[in-house]
Amino acid sequence: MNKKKFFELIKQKYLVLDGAVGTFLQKSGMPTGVCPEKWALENPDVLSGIHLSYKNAGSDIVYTCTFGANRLKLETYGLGDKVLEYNEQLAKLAKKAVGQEIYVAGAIGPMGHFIEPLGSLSFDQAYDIFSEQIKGLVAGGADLIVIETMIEIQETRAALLAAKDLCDLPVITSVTFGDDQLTLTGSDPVTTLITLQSLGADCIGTNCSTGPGDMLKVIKAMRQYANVPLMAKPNAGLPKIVNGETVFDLSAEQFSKFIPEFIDSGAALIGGCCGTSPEYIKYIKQISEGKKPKPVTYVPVRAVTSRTKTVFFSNANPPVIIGERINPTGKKKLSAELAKGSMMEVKRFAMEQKDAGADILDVNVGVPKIDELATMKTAIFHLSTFSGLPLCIDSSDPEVIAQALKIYPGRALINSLSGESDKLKRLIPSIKKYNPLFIFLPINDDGIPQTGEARIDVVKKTLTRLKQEGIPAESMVVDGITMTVSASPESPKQTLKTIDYCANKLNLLTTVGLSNVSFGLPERKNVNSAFLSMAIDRGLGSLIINPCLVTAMNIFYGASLLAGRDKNALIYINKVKKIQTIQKGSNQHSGQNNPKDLNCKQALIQGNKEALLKAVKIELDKKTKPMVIIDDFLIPAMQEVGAKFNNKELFLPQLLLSTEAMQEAFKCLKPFMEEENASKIGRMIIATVKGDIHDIGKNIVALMLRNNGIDVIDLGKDIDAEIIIKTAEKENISLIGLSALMTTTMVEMENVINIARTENKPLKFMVGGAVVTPEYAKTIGADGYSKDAVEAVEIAKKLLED
Amino acid sequence: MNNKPILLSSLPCAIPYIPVIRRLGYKRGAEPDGITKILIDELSKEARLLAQPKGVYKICNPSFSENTVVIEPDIMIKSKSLYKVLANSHTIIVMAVSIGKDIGLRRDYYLQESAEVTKGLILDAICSETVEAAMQALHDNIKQTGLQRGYNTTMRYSPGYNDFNLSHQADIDKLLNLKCIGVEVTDYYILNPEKSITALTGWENF
Repeated sequence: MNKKKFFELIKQKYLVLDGAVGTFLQKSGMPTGVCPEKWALENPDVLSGIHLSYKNAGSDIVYTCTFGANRLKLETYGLGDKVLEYNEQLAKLAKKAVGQEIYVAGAIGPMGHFIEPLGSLSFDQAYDIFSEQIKGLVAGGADLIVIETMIEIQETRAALLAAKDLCDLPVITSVTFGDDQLTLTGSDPVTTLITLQSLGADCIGTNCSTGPGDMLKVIKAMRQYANVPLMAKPNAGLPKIVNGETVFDLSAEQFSKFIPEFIDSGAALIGGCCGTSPEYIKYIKQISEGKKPKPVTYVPVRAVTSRTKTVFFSNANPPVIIGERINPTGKKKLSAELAKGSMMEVKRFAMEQKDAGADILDVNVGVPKIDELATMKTAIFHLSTFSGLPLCIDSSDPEVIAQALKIYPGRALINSLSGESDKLKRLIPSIKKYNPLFIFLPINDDGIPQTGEARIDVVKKTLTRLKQEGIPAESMVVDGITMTVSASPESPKQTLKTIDYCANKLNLLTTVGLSNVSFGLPERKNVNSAFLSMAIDRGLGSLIINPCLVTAMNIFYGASLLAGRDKNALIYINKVKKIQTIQKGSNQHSGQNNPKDLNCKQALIQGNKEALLKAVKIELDKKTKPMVIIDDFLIPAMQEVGAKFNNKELFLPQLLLSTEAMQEAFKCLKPFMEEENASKIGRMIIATVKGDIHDIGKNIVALMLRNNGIDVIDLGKDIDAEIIIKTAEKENISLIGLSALMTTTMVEMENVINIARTENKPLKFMVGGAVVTPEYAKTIGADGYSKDAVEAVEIAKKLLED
Repeated sequence: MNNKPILLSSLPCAIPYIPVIRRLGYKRGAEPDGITKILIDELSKEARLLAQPKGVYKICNPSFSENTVVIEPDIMIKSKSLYKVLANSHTIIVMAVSIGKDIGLRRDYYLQESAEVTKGLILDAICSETVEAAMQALHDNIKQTGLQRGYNTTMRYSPGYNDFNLSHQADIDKLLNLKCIGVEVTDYYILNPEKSITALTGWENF
């Protein structure tokens, strides 16, 4: 069946699909643990019988039993070399079973492995795995291809691209959503639909996982943006166990009650998944018989997607914000990092721009002399999982754009196409294949036209060309081209004219970059912001901006409100609230940080290092003696902190902040103190025992001990018993603190103590760590145990005094 | 049937605020003070940049004898408590996650080099909750896949819980080849980098 026939057919009637096959095979004697495809081929009558029973129940399309017949799945049974053979044979078997009156869809299921960056398979490997299966299905005479029970958008994209490249058959993509209306990796129905529709799926739908009730919500959500027929294959309700067997909770009759609503919601292909049988399919046939599906009306979809998010361009909303910062031009650190393959700065810019309100992130990695393609791929891998925002792929190299579009797990925006003949020629194939939105610079072979009229002329000519190629006008985002007002006073007017005409007369999306306009002027943000508000007034669809610029963003929300693009001022109010909260937070912070307000005691209790140092210096200036500062201010304050910690009025981070502040105060006072005055209570060694690499607890204890006048030699983590004991001997130290976190390593504490005792060393041991108990400490002969750092100080003091 | 381990090179990196402050001791509605809150916020951002949450899992067909779970013929785990969790499972999924070594190095920098112990402590708590969240994300994936196949998924159970001996980390390494997510099991059965988790879960009929 070719695509034309498929679309003709769907205008005439609802197409009834089949129901469950796997459970049928099991009921017919297929043992568990065998390869279903192999067993089905060895028992052809059983599978033929199932196909036929669905035909007799009214199915117009049956699926081949090839759900798991891809190389990766078959390899788990040692049958990796049977892909072509099984797919061809099983397609032939289905065709033979149902004859010429109805159709056979070659079924492709998930590989069971994820594509990078989520998993280890490359996109090309996945494409090849699906290609192999599709070749077999086509050779076996499949009438259409159905990519079903898909849980990941990227895997679905790979299979869809392979199917489109290898055959002209209609391709159905059917994705599985959980009861949260998301796929396993977080794609919602609308994002899934827009991504697959733009990539050329002929029919999109959903199967498995949920019962018909939840599935209706998916179909209804997809319906709003669907330019292709929709399909639904729900389970017979939810699974439950009855007499030791898994059954689904809806009978065929109960299931049938949902069918009219599927019809009303716009599903044109309907069948059943797990738990259904020919009886269920009969109902679908009866209810849909004689009815014609609602015709699919074309809706221009002006949106880009990531794996998990759709961003719509709409005149009813503020312009879409395209964050411009991931671009090495003029950024030394980013350039250097990209050159050495690090994505740290890229991620940092992504995070900051997302937090500042970006809707889309522009990604340009064009550093001279680097492998731009490899770097772009790495950046897309990182950003697609890190930020979740759709990306704008920005490169002057058409090959980089083509490869990036292939591996991007959604519908991207690209930056940019222009009216230059070479660029058109080289980019049009990728735009046709992947159908992204694209920024269009109205430049022709003669350069940038000076007037708005001439730029509009370039837009119109290009639209004609694109129409011939089958590229829809709604994919174009016209860049008004911003020039410097100080050099060319007329130019902003021409930019605005271009935006106005394209947005309002040609009904095209538009965009603009801001910063060029003010080049060479003082206080550039004023000029940029004014230009932005004028462009918004003219119908600007999106803007390329650094969203961390507060003035411009404030103007952006205000201008959007005034231009009628923020109903009930909800967006403006929310943004203002957010800004107020941030300001309030930073005031509070700086208030606490204001050294003027606090004396030594207050500053130490607050754990405010800067304020404490300032207060200590004031005391020193007043000629207060260092020991007085320590004894009268710092120690009582620290005791109060300790008491509050014990009473759970303060918590560990606050205790540590105060301790750190006190350490800083000591450092500051040390030069003013006589050596003998700075006497210590005693000395001890602390270590995390051999085999254990966990040392945070030990570090905290060491800090607290030092803070209380104990001189601590911290040997670190994973320390051999011998080293601990030798150090004690060498340093003439008698107290040792041992730490261990795990049951496997706490036994090493016993070892250390045993060695010391056997060698008659006059050493005392105190122990601690998550799994250590007072009882255990006693058993291994430790002299002390503490549950936390505060207690450790008391125990250490006691053991040093004894 | 011989399944291979399935690698997830990029798990979602969610840093759950409430569990982080609970881990730091703020319980029963207690809230951190202003300075601590700002530190948590700054360090969460740092953690988002540095964490590289990866996971790997393998679907296994177990058999059972008394208080023993036989995952593969040469991998047997004797543990009453683990047996209790998995006894009704027809399939066992062995899982591991890690958030990588970079974030741990940053924590060590705070704890040792820069002597900002508070930052070290907070980042440590963030790391612990991030790796927990990564394991939860992987377990949720397994749960959803199970549901699709009509199975209930059990709770997850890790070496070190009750009588499930830590030494079985070595068995898990053998099953999953933990190197693929950058994790090694030390001679003392500790996972390195520290912020890594292994666990078992099972699929059973509803």
